[in-house]
Amino acid sequence: MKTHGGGNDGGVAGAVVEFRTSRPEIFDFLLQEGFQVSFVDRCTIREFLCCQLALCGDYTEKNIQTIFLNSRPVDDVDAAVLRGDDRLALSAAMPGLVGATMRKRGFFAKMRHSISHDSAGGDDRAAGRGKRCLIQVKLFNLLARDLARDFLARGIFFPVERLCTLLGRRPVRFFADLNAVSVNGEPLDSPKEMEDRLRPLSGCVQLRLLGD
Amino acid sequence: MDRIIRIDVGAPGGPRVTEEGLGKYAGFGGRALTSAIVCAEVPPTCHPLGPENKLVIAPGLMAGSAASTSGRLSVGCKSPLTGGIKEANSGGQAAHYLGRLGIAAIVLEGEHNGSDLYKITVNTDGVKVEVDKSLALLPNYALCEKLKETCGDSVAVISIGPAGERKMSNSTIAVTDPEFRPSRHAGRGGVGAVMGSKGVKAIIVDPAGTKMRKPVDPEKFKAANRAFVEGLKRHGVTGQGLPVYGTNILTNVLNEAGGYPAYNFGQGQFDRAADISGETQAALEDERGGPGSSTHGCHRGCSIQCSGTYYDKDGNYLTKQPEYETVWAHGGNCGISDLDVVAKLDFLDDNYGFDTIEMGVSIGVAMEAGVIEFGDAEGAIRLVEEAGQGTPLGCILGAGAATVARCFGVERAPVVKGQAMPAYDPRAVKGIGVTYATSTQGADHTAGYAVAPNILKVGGDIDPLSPEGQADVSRNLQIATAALDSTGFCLFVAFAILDQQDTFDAMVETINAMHGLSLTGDDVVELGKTILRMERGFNASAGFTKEHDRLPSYFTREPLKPHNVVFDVPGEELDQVHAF
Ligand code: SF4
Repeated sequence: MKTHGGGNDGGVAGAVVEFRTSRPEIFDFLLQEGFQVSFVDRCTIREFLCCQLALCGDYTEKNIQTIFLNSRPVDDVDAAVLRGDDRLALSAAMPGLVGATMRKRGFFAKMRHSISHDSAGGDDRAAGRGKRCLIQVKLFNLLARDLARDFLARGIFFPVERLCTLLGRRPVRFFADLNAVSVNGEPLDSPKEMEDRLRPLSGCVQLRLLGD
Repeated sequence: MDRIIRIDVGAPGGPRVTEEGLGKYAGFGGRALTSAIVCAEVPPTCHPLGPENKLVIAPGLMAGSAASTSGRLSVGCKSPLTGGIKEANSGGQAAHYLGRLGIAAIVLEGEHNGSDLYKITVNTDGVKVEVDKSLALLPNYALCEKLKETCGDSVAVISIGPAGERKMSNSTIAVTDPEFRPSRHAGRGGVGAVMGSKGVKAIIVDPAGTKMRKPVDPEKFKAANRAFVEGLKRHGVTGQGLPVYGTNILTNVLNEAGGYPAYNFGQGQFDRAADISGETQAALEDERGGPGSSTHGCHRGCSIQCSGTYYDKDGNYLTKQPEYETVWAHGGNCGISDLDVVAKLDFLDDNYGFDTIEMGVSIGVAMEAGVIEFGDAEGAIRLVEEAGQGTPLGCILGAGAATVARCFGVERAPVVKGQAMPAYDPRAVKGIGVTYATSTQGADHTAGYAVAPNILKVGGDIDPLSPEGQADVSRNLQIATAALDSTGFCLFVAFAILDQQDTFDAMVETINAMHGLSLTGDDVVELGKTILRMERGFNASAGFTKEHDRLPSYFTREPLKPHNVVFDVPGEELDQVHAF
């Protein structure tokens, strides 16, 4: 088995699965669990979203309303700095008092002040800045739907064992929405073969959405 | 909506129905009315199941109108679970039908003697009370099937299951939804037991021959309601998040925040949260029931439609879409990560008439005590079945989490004033801990919902990022929520009116046009304050002191992972919440 990945994307995968689909949002089941994606170390959340993923402006401001960095709600996307192996979770605005409490700079933010992300201190941005490494990202609810294409086109890393478990739970429709699936460059006769091909592997698989 | 129907179940010769105008209760609806009647007419020190207690069922001020998302029903009494005042809120069809019949409240009162079980029918002809012992101990779904044979399914039924008949402290009052399923519940505080103590099994509300209530200013009403609906649709939460994913959209977010109480509040994250998230649940519902199954209203006229329908593997109806709190209580709180099991438990709770939060937390406490293991799905189902059948163990579970903890010698009972905490750990989200501690209702997540306090400016501007002033925020929320609970508008309109001034204005304008009023934000605040003062006064007379406005001490002692935080808001600050 040839090892794919590596290079300048900062990730190593036991296999690369490439596919086409007009409905990348069907992968929301794994986007919510968390996946790894390469990024340039020690950037701010805004730099990551805007410069590295091209998610700028209105969409980010209006729709990415709830942000967690290592389980801490973030209020200032320009101050919170991302480092390798961090965990970043992105969500739309949430209902209810606690939903409102978790929002960035929300009216009720003080209600969770003891768990809020503190961007002060530890300013070692210069040290490892610019290096490519991996960050774990979770996309929840509407953002999983809206941003699936952006992340999958970039290529995401996901634990192969868990992927097989989740693929086993997918309805038939899921596979019907996939086209031109290949594993390590070898085309599959049917997308449903994916699980069998991946099951003997360990570590992470890279999933990559191909363009039209 | 100017009539109060009183049914004295202890009158000589059988129940007596009387009707009166609103009198001193004029201007009140929903929670304002239930609390006003309970405060004025129920001795605070009475036994909740005794003849002095009353059960008040009141639709909100907008019931029976065409106002969007306004069909919520309030049920009030002295609570068997907390020993204090209670308002439990429900969806379903009954509120609008009562409004169309012109009924502001139904009051069940007096001493029920003997074993008669009553079925009450309310329609345009008046109110009829009949003895029907054949309904005894029927679970809610079977009861509705039986009632359908004689009443059809275009009525609404307000009923109790076996839990209410057995007067369990955890017992709900069910309300039928648009499909005539008893899936909506006034869940909290044991209100079902009070209905049971009056010997009333079911109230059938028949709207035949009635029309929608007319606004005082129809043109203004139409325009305001249109703007209100447009605002709800425009907002990301009420227009997209809630309709697509339901309230369970919160699982992933609370879990990520480390504020998701797993394993009986033993830790702040559940490693299998994604298996029971709103995203997973909505996909499953749509897959099994067809697209759109995850979007449904608890009553007709809701523009948000945060509910849905849950089907089993074969596509058969299993239950309504379990709420976030239910999925948490029976799921992560008990170490269970199977949505089919959660849905089954939700159905059993609805059928027997148990509050899902109280029952899930009771089972979590039982798991902590070693009655069954955390994660034992079959054991959890067995326990709810036992509670429904009223076995000795079942009766302990049906008495609520605090009683379960006492019976099994467990300190970790996550309760305030005897009522189980909902799905947010107060150590991670301290502001909600302030609300749990100080609410007049016992631990209650809806007591401090996000209702536009920035617009109402209750108590002035607040810097959201400063840690100080949690008491101020909690106070403002409790005031605003009490006011909204009186209108009949669903609390989920909160986000749209919080973020969009024009939507808030449209909502107030809808109320004004309906009733010919000129309410301002200040009036809304004053109404909320009045309600809270009444409720606090009742609780004080019932024996509650500031020492009852506290969380169990283990929350101040045992750090919650992953943030390793304890609840450390000082008592003096908690005491400031109701200082207005
Ligand atoms: S938003 Fe949900 S709870 Fe509120 S009225 Fe609509 S369906 Fe019922």
